[in-house]
Amino acid sequence: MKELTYVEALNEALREEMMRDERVFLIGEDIGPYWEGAFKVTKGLAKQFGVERVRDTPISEACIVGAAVGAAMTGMRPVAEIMFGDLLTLAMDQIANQAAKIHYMFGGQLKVPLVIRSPFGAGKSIAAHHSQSLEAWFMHTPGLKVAVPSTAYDAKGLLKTAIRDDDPVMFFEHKLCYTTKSMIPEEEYLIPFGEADVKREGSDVTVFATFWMVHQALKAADKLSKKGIEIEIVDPRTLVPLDKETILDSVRKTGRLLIVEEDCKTCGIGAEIAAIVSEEAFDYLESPIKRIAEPDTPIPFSPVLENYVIPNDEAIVKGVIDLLES
Amino acid sequence: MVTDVVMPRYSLTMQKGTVAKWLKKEGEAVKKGEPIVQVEADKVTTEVESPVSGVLLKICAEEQTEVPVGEPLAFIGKPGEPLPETWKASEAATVQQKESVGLASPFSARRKPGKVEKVRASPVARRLAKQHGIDLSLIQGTGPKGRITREDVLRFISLHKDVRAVRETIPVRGMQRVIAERMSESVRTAAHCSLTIEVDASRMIALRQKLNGEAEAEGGIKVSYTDILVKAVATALKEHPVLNSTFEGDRLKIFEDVNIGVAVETVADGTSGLLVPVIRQVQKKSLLEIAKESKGLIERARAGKASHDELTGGTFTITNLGMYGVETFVPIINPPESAILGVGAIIERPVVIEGKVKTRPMMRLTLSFDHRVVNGAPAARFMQRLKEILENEL
Repeated sequence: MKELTYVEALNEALREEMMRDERVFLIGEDIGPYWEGAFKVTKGLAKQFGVERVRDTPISEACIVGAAVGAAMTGMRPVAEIMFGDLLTLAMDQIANQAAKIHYMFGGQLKVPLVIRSPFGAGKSIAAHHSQSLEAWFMHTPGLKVAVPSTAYDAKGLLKTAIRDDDPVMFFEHKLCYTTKSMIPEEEYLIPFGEADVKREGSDVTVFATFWMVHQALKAADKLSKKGIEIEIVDPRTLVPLDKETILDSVRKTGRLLIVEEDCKTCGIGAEIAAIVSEEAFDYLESPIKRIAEPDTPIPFSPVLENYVIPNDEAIVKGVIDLLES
Repeated sequence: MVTDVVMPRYSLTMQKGTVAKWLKKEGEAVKKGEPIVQVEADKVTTEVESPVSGVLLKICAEEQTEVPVGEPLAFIGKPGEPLPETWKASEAATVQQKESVGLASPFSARRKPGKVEKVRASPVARRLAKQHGIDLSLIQGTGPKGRITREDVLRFISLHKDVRAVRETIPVRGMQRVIAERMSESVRTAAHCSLTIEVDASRMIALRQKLNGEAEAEGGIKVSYTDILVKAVATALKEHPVLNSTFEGDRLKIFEDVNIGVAVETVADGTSGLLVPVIRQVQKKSLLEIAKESKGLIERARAGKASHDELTGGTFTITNLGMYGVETFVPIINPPESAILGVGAIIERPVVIEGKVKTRPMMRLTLSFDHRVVNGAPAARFMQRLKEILENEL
């Protein structure tokens, strides 16, 4: 075992997969030998594998994803990087209309084994164009798989699975998670898609969280535990496919669900999770499902305002107590 | 034009009926005269026919809800036609009616469908309560705003835990519900008193053998002991009319005609039921007429085809358990009547006749009567007269 950061774990996953399979190559802005990625995920990879396999591109997200989709269709296994998740909008046609649909449009004769890596998340005071969490859009697009790792351990295991998957995978990372650390096994491991992880067991309230919100929920759990309240934190790890059973089992046990999402509330992933639980576990609920999310606004540049909109551990503590009293 | 279909009145005393089963769905076309719903009233299930042709626009009462006589069961009209404005008021009335139906036991079998919920309970508490057949209104909620929680239900279950494992829970409705209401009403209101007398059945046996021998030869109707008793009881009642009566609070109504009900067991879906078809004006009928009429009545009752009139209007009831070897039993008066005769088995018994022990076929008759209106001596004289008729006048 060794302790690695989330960034180091992703780097290790890319390196291992590139060593394992020659068809795996990386494509993106500033990922090559001169800058090694905006968040250093591709550190050392161009030096090790050459610029043929770690390709810098012009500043055109549509071009990056379009080229990657074409490469995937012709037998390569590209891993594209979009520097900020907010910029996925520039490649949206390639993602939603091409990558997601090709397998269907060609009657299953073509596959698109593509991974698009991109970081989400606020908290670094980098304003409305660099701070969003847009995973709900992609969860809403049939044909895409969506991974949302919250820890270094999950990030490594899920990225390796994503690269080996024959379908297009939106592999989302989180800027604040990048510096978090996990113990990583020396030996190779993969984490299958569609298996949620219970990050902490508890009996009173189920807390559904992803990314940075998992870390906030863990902090909240310690505070709540001192008050005698035990929360169970369910991290889905992939939104598509979604491990409904783990979520439902937890709610059946606790009878209460708090959803914490770093996205605006309206039509966020929490709305879908709440709907699933009320459809399939209504008879086990002890109180109404509660969501903690951002207000329906762009993420503010001002650190004071930004802190105000992002759910934190205190908001979760309050949310759990409200839920127990509502 | 929208036509309403209302709960019919099948008898003078009928206050309300229960919707047993809808035969048509909302939106379905119905023809005039076509049955649209089955209704249970007293002990009879009857089909209500559509008064007009059209579309069933609205069902106003769910199955197993009670609807007062004259209140709407459904509306029929052209598709999309608006319901009458008065309907809302009557809907409210029906809902209120449903709410007032109390559940007697805390572990009552079922909730009334469509009942307006006033109880605050979480979904999980509701599910648990339903699983265990618990009436949530009996539980004090400790959750936010008094909501009943899972723990509240579990606590209630552990406090009221029944150590008797339940094999099945059968909803009591329809006929058995009417029987339950009538029997408890009778025991609650009438001052039950009973007299038993032993009758030598030799002449009854001889008469029956003679008549049935003839019937066999000529293909006529066979006569039962009950038929003979019906005739004898009618004769005795004409002479002791105080027992052929009904008590109405401050007066005793004595009837002109002797209408005798005969308790009959019915079996439907493997469940035992009880009906009392009534032979009217027995005092005017011969034994053979009685036998013929009662045979038809009993057959129709058992087949569930007896009319409402054939099951009501009795002034006295006879119930015979002799065929099971029961020697004597004390029946409950069938309200609003004043008396009932329980008939035991005919058994060979040693009796002393003129100083010598002989065996005789003996039958014990027990009269239950309402002591509020009939005193012991007149009841005893009735029984004495009945014995005399059965032993000497057949």
